[in-house]
Amino acid sequence: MTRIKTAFTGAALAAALTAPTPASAFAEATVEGCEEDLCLADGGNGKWKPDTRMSKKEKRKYRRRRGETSSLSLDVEGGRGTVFLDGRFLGVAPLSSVEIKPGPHDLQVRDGENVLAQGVLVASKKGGDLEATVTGG
Amino acid sequence: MIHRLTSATLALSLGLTTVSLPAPSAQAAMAKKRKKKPSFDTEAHAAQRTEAQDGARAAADGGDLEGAADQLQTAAAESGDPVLYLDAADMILRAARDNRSIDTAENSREPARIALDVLYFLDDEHADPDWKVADPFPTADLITRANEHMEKVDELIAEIEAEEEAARAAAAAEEDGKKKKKKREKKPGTGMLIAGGTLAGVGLAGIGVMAAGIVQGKNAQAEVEDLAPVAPGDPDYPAFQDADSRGKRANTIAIVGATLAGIGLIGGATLIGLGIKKRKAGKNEEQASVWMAPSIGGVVVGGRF
Repeated sequence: MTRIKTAFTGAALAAALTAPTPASAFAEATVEGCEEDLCLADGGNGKWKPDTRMSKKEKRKYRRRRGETSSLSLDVEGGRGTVFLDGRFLGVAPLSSVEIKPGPHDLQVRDGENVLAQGVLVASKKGGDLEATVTGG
Repeated sequence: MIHRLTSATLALSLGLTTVSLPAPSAQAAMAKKRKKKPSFDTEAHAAQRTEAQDGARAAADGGDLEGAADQLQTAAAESGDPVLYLDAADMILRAARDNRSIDTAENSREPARIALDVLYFLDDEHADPDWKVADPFPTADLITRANEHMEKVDELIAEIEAEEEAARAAAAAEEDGKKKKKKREKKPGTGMLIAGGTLAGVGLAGIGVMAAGIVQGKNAQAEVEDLAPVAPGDPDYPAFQDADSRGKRANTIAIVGATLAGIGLIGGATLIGLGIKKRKAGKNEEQASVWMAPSIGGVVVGGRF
């Protein structure tokens, strides 16, 4: 019985590690500065969680967002890319001063078939400027 | 045990009886929720696309291909519509074909690239399923169209480069022909000047020959005078004869040199003079001009010939 329990705990842990990070984790383990393919300029107005996506529950939760909008500027270092926010087209890099609502957003930057950056961008409720640079160009 | 079973049966029966059906108003609310209006209005989007395409077509018919492309790109950037991006790319390529411009052809790649970005994203799990921006066209067809556009750009660029290369070669050939013609068109009197110069050179050489002959003749004369008088059979007679013949040869050389000098110098000077005269005449011909200037009560016409 003890063996079975241990195996089950191991499987659950492996699943937790391989599965996309749950939305509840946005509050913790957030990163400023460079993380994988995207760098956020210092200023504390946003956070970037690479290789994650918002769950349906999280999307529902943030449907009505409260707080100040942030002004997103995004550039692709040494290349080009099209930016998609929350599953839709936002614009072509370089983007400057695009208003985004506070809270987490699914962000993807791609050049054709090549995904340059993918993750969740969290805009601060206080608003402000969010300057991001995709380094995977 | 029986007591326990009875309690369970009672609890089950109570549970079944307390299950209530949703009220009519709640049912309607649920149905409404199920038939939730999608956040992307496909019909409105199609109307916007048609409007942009019509506007661009009108501009293109009026000859403003760049304006048409701008209209399409602006509309495409607002919605992220890959169809409009591809239309814009086609319009720019059309302008490039008309203007024979490689730069414009290259510029037509970017909207096609954006269209590809959107199309690949639409096939990605991160895309919002409600965002049917490419409808009613299948993304695979549009991806093929975008890739074909890139091939057309490559073909047009190769075509324009070949034309430019041919034009460059033709220009180079024309320039070469002009240079050869210029070379052939020598200045007037050049031939005479060259001949005169050569002849004068011969004359100067003749003076040299003449001088050498005179010097040699003088030396032979002095030798003969030293040996004279001699008669055949004298021991000095062979030396006398040798000096005499050398003197005669020197005289001949001096005469030939003098003749060459005379002919060369006189002929050379004449030809050089004629050449200079001809060149001057040619220059004056080139400078001949007619001019007009306003004057009191009319116009003064002048000329230089």
